[in-house]
This record gives sequence, structure tokens and C-alpha cells, in this order.
Amino acid sequence: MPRPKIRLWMSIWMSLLSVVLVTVLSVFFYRAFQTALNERVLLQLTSVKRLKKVQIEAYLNRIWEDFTNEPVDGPNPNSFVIDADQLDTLGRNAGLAFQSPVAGIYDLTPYSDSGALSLLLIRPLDSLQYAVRRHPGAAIQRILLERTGMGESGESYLVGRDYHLRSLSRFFPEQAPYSFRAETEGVKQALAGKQGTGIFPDYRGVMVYSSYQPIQFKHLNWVILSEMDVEEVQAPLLELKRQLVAIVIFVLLLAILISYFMARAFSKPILRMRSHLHDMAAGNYDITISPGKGPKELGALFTALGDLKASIKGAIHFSQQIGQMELSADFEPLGDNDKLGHSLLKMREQLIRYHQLQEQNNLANQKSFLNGQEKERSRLAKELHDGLGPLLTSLKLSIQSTDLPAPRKTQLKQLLDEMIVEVRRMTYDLMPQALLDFGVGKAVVHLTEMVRKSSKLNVHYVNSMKDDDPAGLDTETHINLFRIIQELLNNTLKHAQAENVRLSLTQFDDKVALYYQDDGKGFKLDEVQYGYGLKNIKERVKVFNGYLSIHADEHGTEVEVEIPIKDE
Amino acid sequence: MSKIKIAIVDDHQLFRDGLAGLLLKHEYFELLASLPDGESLLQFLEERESPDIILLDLTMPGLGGFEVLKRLKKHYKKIRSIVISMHEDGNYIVKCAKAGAYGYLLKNADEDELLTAIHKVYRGERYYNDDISARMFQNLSLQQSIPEKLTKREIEVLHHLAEGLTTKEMAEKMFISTRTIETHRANMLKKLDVKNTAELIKRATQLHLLS
Repeated sequence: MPRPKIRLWMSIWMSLLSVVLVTVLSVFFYRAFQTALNERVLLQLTSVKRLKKVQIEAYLNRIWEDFTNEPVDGPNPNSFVIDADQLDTLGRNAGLAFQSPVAGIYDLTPYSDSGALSLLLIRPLDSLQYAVRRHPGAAIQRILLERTGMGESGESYLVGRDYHLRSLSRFFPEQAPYSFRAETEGVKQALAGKQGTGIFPDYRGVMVYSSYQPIQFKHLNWVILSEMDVEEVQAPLLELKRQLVAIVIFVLLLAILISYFMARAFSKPILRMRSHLHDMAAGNYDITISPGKGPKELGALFTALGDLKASIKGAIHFSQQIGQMELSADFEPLGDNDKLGHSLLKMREQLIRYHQLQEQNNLANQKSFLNGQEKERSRLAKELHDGLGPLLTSLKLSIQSTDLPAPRKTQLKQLLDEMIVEVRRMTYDLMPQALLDFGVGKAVVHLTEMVRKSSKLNVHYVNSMKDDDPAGLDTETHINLFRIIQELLNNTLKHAQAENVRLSLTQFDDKVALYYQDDGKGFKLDEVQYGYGLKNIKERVKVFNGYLSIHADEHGTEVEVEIPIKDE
Repeated sequence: MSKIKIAIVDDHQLFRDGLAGLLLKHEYFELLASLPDGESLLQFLEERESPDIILLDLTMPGLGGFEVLKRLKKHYKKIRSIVISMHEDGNYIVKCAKAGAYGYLLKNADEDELLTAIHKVYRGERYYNDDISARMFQNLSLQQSIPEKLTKREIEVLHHLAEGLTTKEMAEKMFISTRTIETHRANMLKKLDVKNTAELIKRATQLHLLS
């Protein structure tokens, strides 16, 4: 079974809960109402029944008193005197079993032609004669038909021992009471001598609330019942039931609606969070996480997620920077528990250390390479100067002393001079002795002199070196600066087509500043033909931990170099 | 006329011999000694007679040419020396001249030049190689004395500052970078113990540095 979506799940449970609650409440309420109603109705019926019984008994008592006090031959046409035989006949005709004592009231209804209530009162006058009176039951009928507080369907009626009605059915007032037979639960109980209440079908077969009681009065043996139709009594109950069902349905709908919106309010941020987490799991941290409009706790959740994202993103960004060897990048770990952040920082430190070490090694290598190169040049220059130089000059002297024809002598001398100049030039190019003896400031004077002599380039040189105080500036730095200047002049001569060069060397306490400017056509920094010379200059400045700035445009080239003086 | 007494000091035997051969073609030269280094020259001067002229090499093992010139200037003022060197760099000429040399020749100098130089120096004149003598004076002119506290360049910057030049204008005028100008200025602020340019000019005026 697939897991239900949160929205559906919440809707179902919330609806179910509210419906069950309302239903249970309704049922209890309904039950309580029903019980109260039943009790009340039965109580009312009982009191009505009791009143009727009292009234009937009072009435019977009165007519019995009248009958006994009245003279036998009175004006009452229904009264007459009969003897014992007549009485027997009457009893046989009417199916009456006169009990002893005979005096009393008897029910004549089964024998009346109309089927209406009719009574027979008998009293003995002497041992042979009896006063007899027929008495109509209309008054009793009236008492029973008085229906105050009995609603639409309430009625009180009398039933005889033969289960036939003695009083009128209010539902069928045209029919003789006796034609109805009421062998009902209540009648049976009452005939058994019990009084009580109950709900059962009446003589019509209709369910009624009923209160029943026997009435026994001077041979009369009746049952009085006060009843009311269940349908009428329970009409409000039905109405209540309908309303309760309506309420249940309404509540159900309301619950579904509310739970739908609530579930939406909950599930929407949850789905949003799921999508954010999905993105982040897929490595996409370029997402915006807003707290949203939901409840406070969910907002806080999103803020926390946003913080998480920001910190991961920060770590990623930082590791990217480290990956690209941007070691100056900074990063603030979130706290002592931010293992990732701390490892990244450690990594950066290691890289920086490694990088620095490598850089130092590189510089040291380059420096030792440069120094080695200069040393080798110096050695070669010395060889030339000390070895070849004297030989050539000696040779020249010898030739001058020899007896040779003058033109021949001159020719040889010229040749030798050229050789000597050439060797001198080579020596100078390799390593000017003056550089070692006088320092760069003065050595450059000669260098610029030679440039002036050999080209049209006009070199203005200002030497502000403290040549008298060579301390602090080692030979390597002198050579380095000299080489840089050589390289710059070479570039100008070869490529710039310049007329003027302005050059200065200035020594400060902590550095030597070199300024070089030509009015040539400049160059583009990335052009290949200057690459070698510039690369050399850059390398030399770097090896000596100096500062270099090159600016070139169509008005010329401007180069600044600063080499620090070691404080030892 | 007495002969010109000459001593040759050079660590190269061949060169000494060549030079001697050349000189001895002329009878008015008398070669007193041909020595390989400074020590033996000093020893010779101490023990034997002084030459009129010493032809001196600069680069020699042991006591070098400059050192020899200093000693001569101190102890043998009458002896005039001509430096014969491979170096054509004017710095060497200046240094030699300062150290007391009367002449400076390149080693491949022609016989005529050599003779001219010896005669001139013998007469008490000075002789420097034509090519390089011009440079010598140029170089000497650069060796002006520097004010005690501020360097020459700093004084220049100071003047320009007083004239109201911008850093860029100064840089162009002085062939130095704006960075260097700033360094000069910062150094002057430090040296004169002031805080800004205005104070610097004021203090410089008080010290008559701008006059």
C-alpha cells in the first residue's frame, strides 16, 4: 500500500475524529432526551389516568348514593322494582352473573344495542324485591373525552374484562365502543391487578405510550388507560434526530474543509522544505530559503535550514577558493563543532605553508641559478681578462718592437687592437670588472657611455647611489640591478626606436629604486618579442623580493623597480 | 740630458718583456726594474734607487695597483706613475687619478701614445687616454659633495616642492618614479622630524636648505 500523502492523511484523521466525536455526543444527547421524554410523557399520562379514575369513581359513588337514597317509585323512568325471578331473568338475558351480595353496579354495555356505555344499578328492597336502575354512561364518557394536555393523539378509555372497549375511541367516535377489542399488554397487566406504564401497540395496532390501572367499583371491573401515540410524542425527537444528523454532516464537511486547509498549511512548508533538501542533496545550494508565512516553528525551521545552507555554501565557496589556490580567502567556522570548517582552515594553512615553502624553494632555486650563472660569467670574464688579455697585449707590444715593414706592422697592430677590443667587450658583457670594483651606480655610468657611443640613443642617467657606502648592498644585488638595466637598454635599443632614455638609481636606507623611461613606441605587455627580456627582469625582481611596475603605451615605456636592502 | 728611469710592474712576464723591448728601442729610457707585483716594487724602492716613472698594472695578485698608488702618494711623492690597464671604464681613471696616478693608458695603447704619455708625465703634466679623459671630468662633476643631512636628490625634491610642482611633474623632471618621489619626501619628513609637506618647507626654510 502506498503511503498516503500528508494532506490526505491529515484530512482523513481529522474528519474521522470530529465525526466520531459529534456522533457519540449526539447519540448520548439523543438518548438522554429520549429517556427524559419517555418519563415525562408516561408521568403525564399516569396523572391524567389517575384524575380520570378519581373522577369516575366519584361519579359512580354519587350515582350509587342517589340510587340508594331515592324512593323506589320516584319520578325516574329508568327505575323500577322487580322481584327475584325477574332479576334472574334479567341476569340471564344480560348474561350477568349476580354475585352475592347482589347490590352493586353492573356493566351493561355488552348488551346495549348501541354498544355505548351503560350501567345497571341493583339494590335489594327486601328479600323478594330489588330496585333496579339503568344508567347511561354518557357522563363517564364525558369525563374520559375531556382531553386537556393530551395532545393530538392522546385519549383515555375504559376496557372491560372481556377486552372490549367500554368508552368511545376518540379516533372512531362513530363506532360503538364495544366493537373494539383491546387485548393489549396494558389491559392484560391491569386485569391481572397491576398498574403501570409501558409502550406497546394499542387496540388499533398503533404504538402508544400507555398508563394503565384497574378500576373496581361495586362489581364493576374495568381497566382505565391513558394513552398517547408514540409518533406524536416522538415527533420532536425525530426533529432532533434530523437536526443532529444535519449537524453531524455539517461538522463533517467543516472538518474536511478545515483539515484540508490546515493540512495544506502544514504540508506546503514541508513539501517546500523537501524540495529545498532535494536541491541541496543534489548539490545545488543556489536557492533562496525564506521563512514563509506559516506558523512560527515552521518559520524557525526554514531559518535554520537557511543557516545550514549558508554555512555549507560558505564552506563550498571557501573550498572552491582553496581549490583554485586563492589562499588569501577567509572563512569563519561556525563554532568548535564545525569540523568541516576547521578542516578546511587547516587545509588552507597547510596549503599556504606548502605554497610558501614551494615559493621559497623556487626563489632559492632561481637565485642560486642566477648566482651560479653570474659566477660562471665572472669566471669566464676573468679567464678572458687574465688569460687572453695579457697575451694579446704582449703580442702587440712584441710586434711593435719587431723590425717589420711599416704597413705590415700597422696592419698587424690594427688586427690585434680589434681582437683586444673584442675580448674587452666580451669580458665586459660577461661581467664588468667595474661593477665589482665600484658598484652598480658607477658601473652604469660607463654602460650608458657605451650605449651613447654605439647608438643614437640619448641616455640621461642620474646616479644617486651611495657608492662610498657599499655596506648592506651585496654584490649579487649590484649585479642584479646592472643586469636589469642592461636588459632594459637592450629592449629599448632593439625594439623601441626611442630617442631618449631617462634612467636613475636611488639608494635609500632600506631599498634601491630604479626608474627607467624611454620615449619609444612602447609595446603590449603580452607581445612575444619582448617576452624574454621582460621575463628575465620579472624573474630577477622576484628573486630579490623586489617591486616591479611596467607601464607601456605609444608614448614610451616606464619601468620602476625597487630592490630591498637586506638589514644584516 | 739624463735618461728617464722607468720601472714596470705587471704580473705578466710576457707583457713586461714586450713593454721593455719597446721602451729600450729608445736610448733615453733606462729600465730600472721589471717587477711582477706591488710587494716587490715596494721592496725595490726601499732597497734600491727610485725611478722617475712607474708603469703600473691595476689587477695584480697580492698588492694591487690602487694600493700601490696610495703607498707611493704617501711615501714616494716624487715618483710619478702611469696606470696601464685593460679597463676602459672611466671609473677606474677617476679612482686612479684620485689615488695619485699621473696617467692612465689602456694596455693596447700604441707606441706613440705610450711615449707621449711618458714624456708628458715626466714633464709633470698629466695624461689620460683621449677617449676616457672627457668622461673622467663628467664623472668627477657627479661626485659633488652631499649636504650633511639631506641627499642631493632630496634637496632637489625639496626645491620642487617649494615651487609647487606635483609629484608627477617632479618625477618627470628628475627621471625617477612617483614612488621614489614619495620615498624621498617620506625620508625628508623623517630626517627633519616633521609631519607634513607644509611643515617640511617651513623647517627647510628655517635651516636655509632652500636658499
